[in-house]
Amino acid sequence: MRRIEIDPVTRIEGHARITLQLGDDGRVRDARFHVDQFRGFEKLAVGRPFHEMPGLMARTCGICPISHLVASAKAGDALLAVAIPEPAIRLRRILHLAQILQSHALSFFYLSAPDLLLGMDADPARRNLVGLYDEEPELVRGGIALRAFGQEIIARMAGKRVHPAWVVPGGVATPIDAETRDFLLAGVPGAIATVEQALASFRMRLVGFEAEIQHFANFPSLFLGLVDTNGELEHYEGRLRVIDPTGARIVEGFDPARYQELIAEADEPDSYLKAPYFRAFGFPDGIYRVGPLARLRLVTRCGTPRADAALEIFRGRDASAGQASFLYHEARLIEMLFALERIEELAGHAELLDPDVRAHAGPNRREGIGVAEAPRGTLIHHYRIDADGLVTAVNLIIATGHNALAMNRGVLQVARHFVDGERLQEGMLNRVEAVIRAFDPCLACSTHALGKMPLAIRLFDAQGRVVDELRRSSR
Amino acid sequence: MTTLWIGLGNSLRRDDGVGARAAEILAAEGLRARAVFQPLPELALEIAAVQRVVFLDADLDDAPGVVRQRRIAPAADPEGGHRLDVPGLLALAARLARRGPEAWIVSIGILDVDAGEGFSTPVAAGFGEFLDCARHLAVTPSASHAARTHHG
Amino acid sequence: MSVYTLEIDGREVGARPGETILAVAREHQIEIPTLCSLEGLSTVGACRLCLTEVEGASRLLPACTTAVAEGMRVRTQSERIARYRRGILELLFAERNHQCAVCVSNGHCDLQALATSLGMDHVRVPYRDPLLSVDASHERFALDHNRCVLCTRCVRVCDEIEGAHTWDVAGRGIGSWIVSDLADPWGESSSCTGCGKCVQVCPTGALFEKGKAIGEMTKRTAFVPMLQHMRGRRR
Ligand code: SF4
Ligand code: SF4
Ligand code: FES
Repeated sequence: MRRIEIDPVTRIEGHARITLQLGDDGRVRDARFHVDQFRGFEKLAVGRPFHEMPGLMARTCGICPISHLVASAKAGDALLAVAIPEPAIRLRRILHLAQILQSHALSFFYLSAPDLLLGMDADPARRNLVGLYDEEPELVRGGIALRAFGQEIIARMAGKRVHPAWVVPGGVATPIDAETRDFLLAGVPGAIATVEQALASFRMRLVGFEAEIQHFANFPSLFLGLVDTNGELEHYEGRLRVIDPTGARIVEGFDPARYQELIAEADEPDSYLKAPYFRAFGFPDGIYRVGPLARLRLVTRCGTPRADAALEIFRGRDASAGQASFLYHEARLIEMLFALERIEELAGHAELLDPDVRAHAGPNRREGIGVAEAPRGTLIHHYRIDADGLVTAVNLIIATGHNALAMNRGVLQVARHFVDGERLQEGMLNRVEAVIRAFDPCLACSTHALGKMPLAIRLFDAQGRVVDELRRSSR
Repeated sequence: MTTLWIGLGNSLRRDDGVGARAAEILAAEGLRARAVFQPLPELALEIAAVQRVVFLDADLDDAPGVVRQRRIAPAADPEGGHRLDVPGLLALAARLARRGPEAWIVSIGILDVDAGEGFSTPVAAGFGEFLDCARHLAVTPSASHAARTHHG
Repeated sequence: MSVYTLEIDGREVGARPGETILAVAREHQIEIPTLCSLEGLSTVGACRLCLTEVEGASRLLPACTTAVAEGMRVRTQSERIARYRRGILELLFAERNHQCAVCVSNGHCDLQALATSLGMDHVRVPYRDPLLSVDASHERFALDHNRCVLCTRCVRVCDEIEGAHTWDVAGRGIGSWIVSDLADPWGESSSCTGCGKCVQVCPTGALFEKGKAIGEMTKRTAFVPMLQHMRGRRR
């Protein structure tokens, strides 16, 4: 058995490795994506009062703390078993949409746009944000401003900490002021213009990416995610829907608190990542995908005019491109439009500044489940507490976990097409990595220093000896 | 006369968070300092607006506890296809402003990046020097003059 | 009534016999850091953060328990004192589990504030990482042993002001811990009146109101000297 290791996957936010296993015929037999995952955080929480959980859980992730904050607070709401004041729900929604916005902006403009807009085979020295700036300064400026806008919304609402704890079980800690509302409303139009410009650029260049569309994790799978009661796009609450590769609904709307009846978790031996699958179809047939692409396929429509117009164009192409994960990029742009339109709508609500933002109660249930659609997909927080309100068990399923099996499948597919025996080519590496990036995995508990380790690819022969090695520095 | 300190790292991975921790302390002292997980492009907006930027970073390749300070220049040719690193960030800032600020990096060699808080013994021992080094890079009228004569 | 004359940090000050260095310093707006001492409660000299240099004494003396004397010369600040104080704080942080970023008292904690004001920015001694529990059996309050610094303010306020004497210190040295009644869960205590005074005087996030999220636990201690004063008048 020979192995090719790509270590680490550059440009994803964190630390990961890909192992490609070659069969004796020299063809790629198996592909696996390894992550340093956070079961440790689940242990950390045991014994703590559940009111601390949102703040603690937000710290499990330096990349999208707000989604953890929201899902955790919702699990806390379930433990309190009280109705959350409407104004608090609106504020939580805005905050969470701002997280979606800034996270998608990071993924699209910073991490993917250089490949997408300059071309996968462009000179590596230019294929980055700086190179892109020289070609399309307005777009890059706009992208930076877009992400800064999302970050600033979060900072103004939840405080300027790296790990804000403003969302609490029962609501949010404090109402917002008129100045913050005005800031929200003033920023939306410019941000929408940027996203629409990016969308136009992306669509124009799409013709150059036939090969990628064909081979970027283009395989049938189920899709899973939340939809609202009308079947529209929803990130904060709703019901779980599952569709098959043809788009047919297998599960119309399932109570997310009963997620364990819907999905089961496989143990992946050499990864800390959980690998859930759709229970009714078994392992591995129950592979499903979550995230922006899944969400856009699950919904009847987005529910906001600009996003719906973009969705229509997307759907025309999506049908012809089959199951390509490559379309995640466009899905992210559409979701950014949706987030901006929804933020505008919510911020314009007459009772936005209502001071009634928190319900107080003690623990009234022993088990609470909070589910939200994080930027990368369905996020599940599941807590058990004792009679005193101390946490006894935690189960987290993060988006990257839901996608684990699909990512392996996607990498395998690309590797089979681009990897040729023992030859290690830069272009191939980029494409394998690009598949992973299309899923935008969130490798939460990573260190930033590890991200600087040089990229090393190793080729092992049947005896486990390194027969070829390729290294490049990420510095 | 503005200086911006940017501390990089994950505070839940022990020594990895040393730069971020230092930035938090400097911010608590009233300085313009930010603790971030990793270099992010929107920082370029802020960098473009100051005279001097000081990055506080952990270095896994250096001897644990060893503190170094050096000038850094914007990347002429940022590394291809990878995440944005500090020179790349500076290159971006230089494009956003007419000219970017003078940039320094203060690094400390680290040892332990396990999950958890607190630093390993050598990093804890070197932390005071790391902080002092960072503080001394504040722009003062005379310091900026000295820097100019030194390099000009 | 005679008056002593002494010198604190080079300033000549007057004091009544029986007063402590701390009390006199405070009367003259000279800041001395404290943790276990609280106005209105008896003094125990447990934390040693108030250490000062008294001319003629070879050891540093705690300001909160040392009575003034005629002609005494006291220094409240020096390199040596600063080193001691930082060292004490480092030991306090290393002894139990303080994770300020996820603590209910983050931003409102006496211990954390002392670390900032005394420049203790890191801990050089190894963390002990003990396995400690949270007693959340009380209906409204909880005690997190991870954050307790054994200052005994809770013990004293409960005994001296509320008169319930619910709290006590059990064990010895580093194995000491705060217990309610006969080491029963707090919620089962027959002596606790549920007044919450202990929660208010606790300088850290050890005693807190249930339902508080990270950084939400703020405390008030001004009632202690006020209650003392009112009782004194009634007697
Ligand atoms: S009690 Fe104070 S010092 Fe201890 S963790 Fe909480 S905030 Fe930090
Ligand atoms: S519980 Fe609080 S008041 Fe009581 S001894 Fe511990 S730190 Fe002091
Ligand atoms: S305040 Fe004096 S010993 Fe604690």
